[in-house]
Amino acid sequence: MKANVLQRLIQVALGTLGGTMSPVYALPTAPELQPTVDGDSVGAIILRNPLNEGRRNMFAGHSSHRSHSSHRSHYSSSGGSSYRPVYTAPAAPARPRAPVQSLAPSTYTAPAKATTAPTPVTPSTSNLRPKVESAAPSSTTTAPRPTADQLKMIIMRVQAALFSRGYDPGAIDGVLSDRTKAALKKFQVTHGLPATGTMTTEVLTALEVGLM
Amino acid sequence: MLPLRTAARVHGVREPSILKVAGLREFAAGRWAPQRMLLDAREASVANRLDDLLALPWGGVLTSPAHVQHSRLDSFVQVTELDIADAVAIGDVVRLTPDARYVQNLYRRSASSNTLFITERCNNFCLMCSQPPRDIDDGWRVSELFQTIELMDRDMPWLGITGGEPTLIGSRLAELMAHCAEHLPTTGLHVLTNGRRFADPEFTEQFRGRHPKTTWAVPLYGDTASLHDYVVQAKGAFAETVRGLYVLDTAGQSVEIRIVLHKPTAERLPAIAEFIMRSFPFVDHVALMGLEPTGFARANREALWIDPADYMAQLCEAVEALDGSGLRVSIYNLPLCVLPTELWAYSRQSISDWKQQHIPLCAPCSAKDRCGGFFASHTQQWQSRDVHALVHQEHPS
Repeated sequence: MKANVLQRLIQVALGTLGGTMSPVYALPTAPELQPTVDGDSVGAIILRNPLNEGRRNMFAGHSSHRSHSSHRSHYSSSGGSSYRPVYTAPAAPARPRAPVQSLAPSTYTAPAKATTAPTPVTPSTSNLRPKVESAAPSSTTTAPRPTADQLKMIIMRVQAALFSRGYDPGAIDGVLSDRTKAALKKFQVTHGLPATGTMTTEVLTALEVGLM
Repeated sequence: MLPLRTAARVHGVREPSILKVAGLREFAAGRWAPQRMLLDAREASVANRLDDLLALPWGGVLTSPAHVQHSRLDSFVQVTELDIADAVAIGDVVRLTPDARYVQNLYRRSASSNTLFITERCNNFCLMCSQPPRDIDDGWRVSELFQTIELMDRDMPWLGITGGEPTLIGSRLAELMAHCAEHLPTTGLHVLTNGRRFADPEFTEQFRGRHPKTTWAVPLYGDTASLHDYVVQAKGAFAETVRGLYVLDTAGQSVEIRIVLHKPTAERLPAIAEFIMRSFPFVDHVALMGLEPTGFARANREALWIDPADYMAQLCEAVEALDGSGLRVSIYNLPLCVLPTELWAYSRQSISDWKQQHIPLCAPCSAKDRCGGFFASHTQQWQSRDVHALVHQEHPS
């Protein structure tokens, strides 16, 4: 190795380190060049599960906009500035929570069986998933039912997803109208899914609407 | 080259907010509540259904002046009149600040790479530091990063973590990384650190198992304490960094060594390479990096500048030795024209797009699409005499 070093130093000193100064060159063939981004791991494989794999779907059976009587809307149309989710970083090594999914920024209605009056829930203390009047997830006898707010929200998301893909669901209003069902069916047909007009897990996944 | 910040008119922001810039698809995905999103009403599909969408409690609405004034908009945080329209795009994460006349971009969906900036503090003081440290309390950055991580896209292969010196935030670094593991489950982390705090095994142990795919990138600027400590301007740094490398390896961590190529290191490069091969055979990668002519480097040009043409011999030798010993080697931040063709295979397009440019000389070059180009801070003073446009020559077949 030392002889090599000496040789190179002499070449540099004499300016004869050949092959590096020619203005015309032959482009190396593609496999020699690796235009990878800084930090790329050679051979990294990223595996992705389908969007809603293993998730519970409470909405698949919903087919009509008249099946919920208490249709209380909690949307604050007074806008975002009156309500700001405050995130404080964990002081101790606590497990940070999942992002807010609640529809009801200022009040939350507890499930029917609750013995206490509904209490307002602030975002920093809420368990950020809206509660559902439901049996335990492992129960096979009663399927959990979504709240009115949860249903409205997912229908709005489905409507937005359809509209963004060129299917017209009518208004984005969280109501499973005939127009929305027709658009959903049309999407299902185009994507080789059963044309149920309902929010099956498969169509939600195809629309990239995530179940929580 | 899009800036990270653009002037804008911002109304109604009461406290600093971190928001995901959203179109219909981001809303449909359901990862984030409307409160955490800045609805981009410049987007045609959003504008078309704006009336319906304004029923939701958006964190803010981004409008263009061409919009018909919508009465319901007044009750929302509004962002409008962006100076550079593309500086804020759907999928980005932005910070809005009360009374500010700009929008800060914290994460750009379209960027080739994204980085979490942890702190401006550092316990080294490198001669060529591109991000000169400030000894201030910027813990607010870390709090913000927890939110930012939650709003990033999940399909990023890698996310950088840098500063300053990230380990100075102590245990919060491991928590931040665990947060990444939770919210960005398939994204690898690439952490730039001087490695000094890892000399403490107890400190290092807290990182074990916190994130499934992390590489620690540790700069080493000499095979002796006197050289390394001189470059980083901190006595005792070499001893701690070297010890840190061993402790990281013992804790099962993946390690990369980086060397910035300038006068102190380039002349001694073969010896440094041999030191790495013999002392740290466990490293996964060695990155040899052209100098970024910004920050402290500008003030220390006299001590640092060496024309890359004058260290090519040493670079070839070092690469040959490292590669021959089975270590993975990359060359960053040097344009292809100054490298001999036998080194091209090691060269990466490494300059982040937000700080990259091509110079006029490059206009006719046929290797532009494979070359990393130059730093935005590049000037004639820092240009190798070997920079030239390359002309493609046909192979006789």
